[in-house]
Amino acid sequence: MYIGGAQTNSQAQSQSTALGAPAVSGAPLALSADALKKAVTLNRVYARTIGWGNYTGQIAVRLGITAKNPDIWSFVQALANWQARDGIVPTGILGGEWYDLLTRQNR
Amino acid sequence: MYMRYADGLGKAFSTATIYNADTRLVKQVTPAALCGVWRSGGNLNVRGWSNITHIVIHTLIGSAATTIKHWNNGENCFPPHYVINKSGGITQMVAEYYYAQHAGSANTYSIGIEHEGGCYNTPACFSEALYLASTALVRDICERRKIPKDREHIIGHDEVLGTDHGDPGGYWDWDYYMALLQWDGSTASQKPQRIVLDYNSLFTFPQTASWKEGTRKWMKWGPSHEQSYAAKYYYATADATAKDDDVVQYEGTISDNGRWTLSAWWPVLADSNPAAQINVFTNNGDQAQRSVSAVYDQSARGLMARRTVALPSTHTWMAVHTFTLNAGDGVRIQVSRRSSKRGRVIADAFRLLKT
Repeated sequence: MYIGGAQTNSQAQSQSTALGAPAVSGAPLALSADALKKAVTLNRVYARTIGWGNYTGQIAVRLGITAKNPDIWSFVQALANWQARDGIVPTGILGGEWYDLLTRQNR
Repeated sequence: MYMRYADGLGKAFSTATIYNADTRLVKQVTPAALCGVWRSGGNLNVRGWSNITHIVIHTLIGSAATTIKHWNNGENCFPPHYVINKSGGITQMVAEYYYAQHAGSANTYSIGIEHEGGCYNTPACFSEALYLASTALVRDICERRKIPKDREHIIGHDEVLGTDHGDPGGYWDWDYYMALLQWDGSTASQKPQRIVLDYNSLFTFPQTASWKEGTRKWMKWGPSHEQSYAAKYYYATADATAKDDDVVQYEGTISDNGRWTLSAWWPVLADSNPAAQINVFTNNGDQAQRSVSAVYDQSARGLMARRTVALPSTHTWMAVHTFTLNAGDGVRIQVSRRSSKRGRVIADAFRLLKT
């Protein structure tokens, strides 16, 4: 299953506006409470089905999370910020782009 | 910073600031001054210092600021001696030398402390700053008044004889609170530490599709044995043939060297499993600290709840095992779906506490 992935900036902007979040590149955005809850539930499923669950710690480090025992809410928020910066729809849900996030430079 | 008492004592105090509700009022507390109305009875009667033998912990339903404002307006004006907000700010309402009407039969011999609430439905309400400020204040009172720092003398409102109040309730972490109270308040290497792993933790994952999300039951007073720790938890139908990896897995990283006690919390529900297996692994260098497994009756409310004066079953943490661990050690906890008995297995919350 493939979720998210590379999309155009215009798609990202129109959809993130629907989430009530600014689509300005690089600016932190706030996901709605419902979007956060949905992201947490789906990330738990996709970690297993897409397979990034074993790399969660490394992905968190790439997202700039330094806490020893982080919570998933800050992970989702950091992920959404990264998605917005990269022109991906900022859902906070990690799909196929996890490999990109983990391996590409300058993230 | 210095905290100032109404009776003129001053003491170095590093973790919190004490604010007087109103300097004038606290210094010359009279019922009329404090509440705008005269209250007969226990409120603000002078007592001797030697009569103070207990401290009563309360939690507010609303915010500290709003409640203090109501009291100052004379509405339901039964303030305790101190109020502590989520950020750790302490407001003194009544001088310790006077009675305050905060805990019925305990008014004559106790000092009452309210803690900012709005939190019957979530443990997150009790912040680290609130616990630190409260224990710093209580440590100071205990040392000044020669009150032993134990659960005989530091009690909840729900433990006062004859009370029908359920606060502070099960989400108040008494184990952590008492450990902080025993600590000297300054030696960083000895500071108690707490790690809670639950649905909200990043490294909590169901490893198979067998596990579903459950939602915490609504509560008025709480939590009772039926409430989960986190707002959501995982559950699965038990299966005697479930594979080894059919688990919800929690991973945590130990933050300091010491003795760490692992405790568990799950909601006790009507169809809970009477033989749920929990496996714990660590990567500590000592073989003896590497793993422990146990089977628990998740349908037994006695494991998860205690009786208080006010409520028949108040949820509490259940100790599983104590490990000697080092900073950086990883801890992996697995709740397995494999069970010889029927009923659903629940994976809710675990707490690692260094005391």
